[in-house]
Amino acid sequence: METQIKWTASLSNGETVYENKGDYKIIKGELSPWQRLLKYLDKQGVRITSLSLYTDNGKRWNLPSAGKNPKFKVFCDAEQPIGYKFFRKMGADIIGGEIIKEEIFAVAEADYKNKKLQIWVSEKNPDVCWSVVI
Amino acid sequence: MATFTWYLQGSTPTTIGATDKLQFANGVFNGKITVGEYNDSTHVKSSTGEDLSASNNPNNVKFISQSGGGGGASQADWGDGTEDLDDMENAEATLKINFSDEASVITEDAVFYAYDGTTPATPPTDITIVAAEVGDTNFTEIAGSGSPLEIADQSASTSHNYYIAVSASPDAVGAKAGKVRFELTYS
Repeated sequence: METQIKWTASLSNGETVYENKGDYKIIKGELSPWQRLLKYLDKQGVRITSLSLYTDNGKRWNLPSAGKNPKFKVFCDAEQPIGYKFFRKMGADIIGGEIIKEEIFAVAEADYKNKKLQIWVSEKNPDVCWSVVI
Repeated sequence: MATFTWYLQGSTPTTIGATDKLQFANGVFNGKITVGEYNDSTHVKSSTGEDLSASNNPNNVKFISQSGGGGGASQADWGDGTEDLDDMENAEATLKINFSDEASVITEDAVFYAYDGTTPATPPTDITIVAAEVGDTNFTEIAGSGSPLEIADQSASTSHNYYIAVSASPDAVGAKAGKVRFELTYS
């Protein structure tokens, strides 16, 4: 089954890139799209200015942007992330009679000086989503 | 899509399915462990009560001491008498957990812990469970999400194996059950 929660990132060179599209398609056996993006960022000397999660049917979850031109004052005044990260979190149980199936969440993270803001979206049911500050 | 596959290792690995139980016993399938002692055998029990690992000569790791080995290492018996935990090899561990993904991903921040089956932060009731990743010097008592076994990060691959030794001891009379949970980050 193909993953349904994917990342999209805007870059400081003006590009917007999408997991499983263009240069970042998921290719069996090859480095994951996120790891390929990290290599590209390092090679080109560019950075991520915003990171979101999305589905092909139009759902989207946005982290605070590190862009230069937010349109509302509250966004102009807000502390901006100093970095972004994407990962998937998987958990599973064993032992006991109860059947607990594997859970996978796609996680987008905005890093600040002293904290991180994460958005978690369930791969199986995108209506199940959470945010957490750690 | 990523998948986990859990095995009880042995001469032949036994796959642990979603409805199966990992059973710690006294050397015999369904045999009771004396309170305060550790397992002398490990089995996979089906939801219908069958010993799925009966013909696979399953591994067993028995906790002996937390720091009685050389340099303060934990000690365990995995079939050859008491040995230092850090002498264990991959094939001698209790569990092999395989994580696979169609793309080549790194894995980070993996943890393994036991809980009461309801609340991850709550340890199992009346049972002590210790675990170690092969290469560890000492066991960790995996009593809820607050004291997990921390698993080493792995570099990019489509398939990742984690080798974990587990041993259990009842703290009170009666059948004891909980859950162990494995979590990891991949990207």
